[in-house]
Amino acid sequence: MTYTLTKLARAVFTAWLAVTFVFVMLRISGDPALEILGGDLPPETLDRFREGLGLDRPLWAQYLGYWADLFRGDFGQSFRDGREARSVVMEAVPKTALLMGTGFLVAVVIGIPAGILAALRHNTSVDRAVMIGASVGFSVPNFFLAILLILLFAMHLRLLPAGGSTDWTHLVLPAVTVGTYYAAMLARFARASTLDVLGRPFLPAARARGFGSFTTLRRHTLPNAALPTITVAGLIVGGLMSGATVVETVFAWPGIGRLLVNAVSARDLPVVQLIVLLLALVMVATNLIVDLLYGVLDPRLRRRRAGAGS
Amino acid sequence: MDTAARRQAPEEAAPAGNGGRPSDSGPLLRVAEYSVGFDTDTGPVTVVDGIDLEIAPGEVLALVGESGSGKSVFCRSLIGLAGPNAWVRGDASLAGIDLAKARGRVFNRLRGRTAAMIFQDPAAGLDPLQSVGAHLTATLRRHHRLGRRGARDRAVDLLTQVGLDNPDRRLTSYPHELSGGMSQRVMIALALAGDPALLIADEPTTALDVTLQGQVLDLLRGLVERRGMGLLLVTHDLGIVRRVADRVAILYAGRLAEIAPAAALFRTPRHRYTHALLGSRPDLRQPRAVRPIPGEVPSPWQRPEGCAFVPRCAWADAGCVVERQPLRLTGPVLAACRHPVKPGEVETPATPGGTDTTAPAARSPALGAQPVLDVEAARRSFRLGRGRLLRRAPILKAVDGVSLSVAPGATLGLVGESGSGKSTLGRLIMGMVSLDGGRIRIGDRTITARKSVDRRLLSRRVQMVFQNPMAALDPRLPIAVQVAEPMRVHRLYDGARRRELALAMLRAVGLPEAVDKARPAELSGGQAQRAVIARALVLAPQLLICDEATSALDVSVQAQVLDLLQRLQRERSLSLLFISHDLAVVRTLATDIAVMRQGQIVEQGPAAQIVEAPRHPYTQSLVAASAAPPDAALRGAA
Repeated sequence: MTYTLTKLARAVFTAWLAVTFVFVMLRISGDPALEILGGDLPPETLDRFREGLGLDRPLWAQYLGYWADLFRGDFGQSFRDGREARSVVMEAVPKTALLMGTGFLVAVVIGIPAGILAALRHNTSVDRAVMIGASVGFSVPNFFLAILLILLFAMHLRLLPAGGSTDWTHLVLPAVTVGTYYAAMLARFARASTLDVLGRPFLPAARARGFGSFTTLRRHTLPNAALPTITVAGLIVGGLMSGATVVETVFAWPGIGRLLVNAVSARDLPVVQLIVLLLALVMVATNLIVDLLYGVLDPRLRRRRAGAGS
Repeated sequence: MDTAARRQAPEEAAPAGNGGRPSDSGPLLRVAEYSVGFDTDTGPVTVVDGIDLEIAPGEVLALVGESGSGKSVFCRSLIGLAGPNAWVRGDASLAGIDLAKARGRVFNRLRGRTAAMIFQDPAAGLDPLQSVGAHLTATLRRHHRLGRRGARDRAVDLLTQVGLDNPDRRLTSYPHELSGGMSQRVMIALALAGDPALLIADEPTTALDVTLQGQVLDLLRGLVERRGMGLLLVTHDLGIVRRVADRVAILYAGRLAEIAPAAALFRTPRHRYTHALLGSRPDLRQPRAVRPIPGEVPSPWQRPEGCAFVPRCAWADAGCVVERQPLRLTGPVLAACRHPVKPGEVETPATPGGTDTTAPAARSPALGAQPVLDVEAARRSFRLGRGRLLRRAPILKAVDGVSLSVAPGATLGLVGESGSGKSTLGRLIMGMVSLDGGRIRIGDRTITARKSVDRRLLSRRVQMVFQNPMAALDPRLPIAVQVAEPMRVHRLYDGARRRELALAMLRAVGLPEAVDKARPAELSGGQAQRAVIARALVLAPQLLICDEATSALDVSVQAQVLDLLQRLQRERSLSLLFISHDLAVVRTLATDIAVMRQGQIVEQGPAAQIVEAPRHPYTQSLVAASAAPPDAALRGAA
C-alpha cells in the first residue's frame, strides 16, 4: 500500500510542477492583450481587456484564482472566442487519441516483433536489416517523413488525402508517420532487452531440462525481455500526446497538438494551461501505470512491497 | 563425423576410459576418440581432443581440469548444448542412444530424462520471474503425465529429497528469496524431475561457501547411491573430488592426462601434470610451500603437437614433444605420460627447506615491535535499501567491533564466508569506507570515525590487491604505464626514473620484459594479477591487503601467485593482510589467522593453533569443511 501511495504522491507532485511552471512562464513571457488585440489600440482599451480577463491582478493572485477555479471544475474561457476552454480542448482530444492510438499500435505491431526477431537472429542479415531500418526510422525527422509521404501518396500517386480527418483514409499517413518513428525506437529496445536475456544462464538451464527452443522462448525469454520494453512503451505513450504537435500540424489534423500550437501563438492562456495540465496528467498516469504494472509482473518488486507495506 | 561409430565392437574398445573400474554392468555413458570443437571466424578450433571415458550407473566420475581444459564444453556437448557453431567427432553413446548421430529432436527427448545437467551459478540458473513451484511443475509435467495436483505433490517430494525445509512453502518462493545453497538444491531437484540416468554437474559447488559445498556434495553422493544414477562431476577443485568421486579423470588442454580410481590417483598420481597439480594445491593439514607449475595452460589455438604439458614439464624430452602419448595402463591407473611418476619416487627438487611455511617462526617479528596495522573496535554499518515512510531501513552491521593487529613482516589471514564483512574491513583499512566507530592505525597514521585520513598519504603505506585483476587494470593503458602510475600520482621522480622503477618491479614479480608495452587483454589471468601486485608494491607500502587475490585463478596459477607473495614478503619485509574464503590458501601464507563471521572476529591466534585446535564451533566447522580426508599415503609417497 505504501508503495502505491508513494508513487501516487510523486505523480501528483510532478503534475503540479508542470502546470505551475507553464502558468508562470506564459504570464511573464508576453502580454495576451497585445497579442490578441494588437498594439494599435488606446491603452484604456487594452487595460479594460486585461481587467476583464483578470490579467491586471498580481501573479500570485491569478495563480490562486486559477487553482480555486480548477477545484470548482472551471477551466476558464478561451481568450479568443469566449467559449469554455474545456469544450474547445475536449473536441480535439478524441481526434488525437485516435491518431496516436493507431500510431502506437503500428509501432508495437511492427517494432517489437522486429526487435525480437533481430535478437534471435543476432549477427545475421536479418538482424542487420532490422537495425538499419530502425536507424533510418529513428533518425528521419517526423515532419520530413510526413512531407515525403504526402508528396508520394497524396500528390504523386493520389491514393490518400494529404490532410483533414473526415474518414479512415485521412488516418493512414499521419498514423504511419507516428508509427514509423516509435516502431524504430521499440525495435531497438526490444532487441537489446532480448539479447540481454538470451545471455542469461537460466535459458540453457531450461533447455537442459528438456524444454524445446520455442517453449523456452515463450516461457522464459519473452517475459523477461518484456519488462524493460514495457518501461519504454510507457514513455512512448506519455510522449505520444506531446509529440502530436508536429504531425498534426503537417497533416492539418484537428487534434490537441495543432490546437496547442495555435493557442500558444495566440496567447490563449486558459486553453494552453488546460492542454498542459492534460498532457502532464497523461504522462504521469502512464508512468504510474508502468510502475504498478512492474509491481505486478516482477516478483522481486512484488515481494518487497508486500514486505514493506504490511 | 560419425564414421568411427561402428568401427569397433565395444569389447575390443581398448581399455580406454576404464581405469580400473570393476565393469559388471554396461556403461551408462561411453565416449571414444571424442572431440568437440568450434567453427570460428579464424577457422576451426578443437577444444576437446579425442578423449575416451566411461561412466557406469551408480558411479561418480570426476572430470578435473583447469580453465581452458575443455571440461565444460565436453559436458554441454553431451546434451547437444555446446552451441550453434560446435561440432562433435568420434563415438559417444548414452544409455543406448548414439550421441554422435543425434540431432535436435533426439537431444530434446534426452535432455532432462536420460541426462540432466546442473550449472555453476545456481541463482542465475533460475528464471527470476517464476516461482520455484512453477519451475518444478512445468519440468515435471514435461517429463511425466501429471495433473496439476500430481505435479505439485511430486514437486514437494523432490524438494524434500534435496533437503529443503518447508517444501510446501518453498514452492511459492521466488529465486531472489533463496540463498545460494537453497538455489543449488532447487536446481538439483529440477535436474531430478525427469529421473535422469546420468547427472552432469558442472562446477556445482564453486559459487557456494565452503560449509555449503560439503552439504551439496554429500547430497549429490547420496542421490547417486539411492537412485543408481551416474554422476559426471566437473570441477577444477581436487579437494571436492576426494570427497565424492569413485574415479577421477584429469583433463589437460582438451586431452585426458590420466584416469584412475580416486584413491589410487591421490596415492600415486602417474601423469606428471596430475602430480604437479596435486603439489600446487594448498592443503590445510599439511601446510607447506605450494609448488607452483610454471607457465600456463595453452589455449586451444596454441596446443603443442605432442604432449600438451611439455612446456611446463621438467621431465619432458624430445619424445614427448614429437609424439602424443596414448593412455597406458600402469597398475590401476591409465596415464598418458612417457615419464610416469614411480611409486615411492622422491619429491621433485622444488621444495628445498627455504620456502617452507611450516616454520613461520623464522618470519615472526621481534616481540614488542610496533605493529604495522592496529585495528581497535572498528565498526561500520550499512543501511539496506531506502527507508519507507516512517520506517527505517534495516541496518547491516558489516564490521561490528573488530580488533586485530599485524606485526611487521607478518601475515594475518582473515577468513570468512561471503557476507562476513571481511572485504568491508579491508576497505576500512584502505580508507575507502569511513568508520562508524573505533580506531585504525597504519604506521603513524590513525583513522577514526571523526578523523578520516588523506587517502593519498595513506596509499603510500597500504595497498590492495583485488580478486579480479582484469577489472583492476585499465584495459587501454600499457602495463608499464599502469605500474608507474602510483609514482606519478605521488609526484615521485621524473618520467625516465619512474619507467625504470616500473620495469624493475615487473621483473621482481616475474613478468617477462616484453609485457611492459602490452595491454591487459594480452595477459593471462596470472600475469595480470602479477602486474596488479607490481603496481601495489611500487610505492613500497608497509602493508599489502590481498582481498581474495587468488580466488579467480586456476590452482596451478594460484600457487604461482602465493609463491610470489611469499618471496616478495621475504625480500621486502612486507606485512600482509590476506583476506580469503579459503582456509587452506590462508594457511599457506599466514602466520596468524583471524576468523570472521557476521561482522565479528570469532577466533584469532597463531595459524597452526587455529587449524589444529580450533576452539570456536564456527572455526571447527570451517576446518572440517576445508580439510580433505587425511591421506598420509600421498604425502608418504611424496
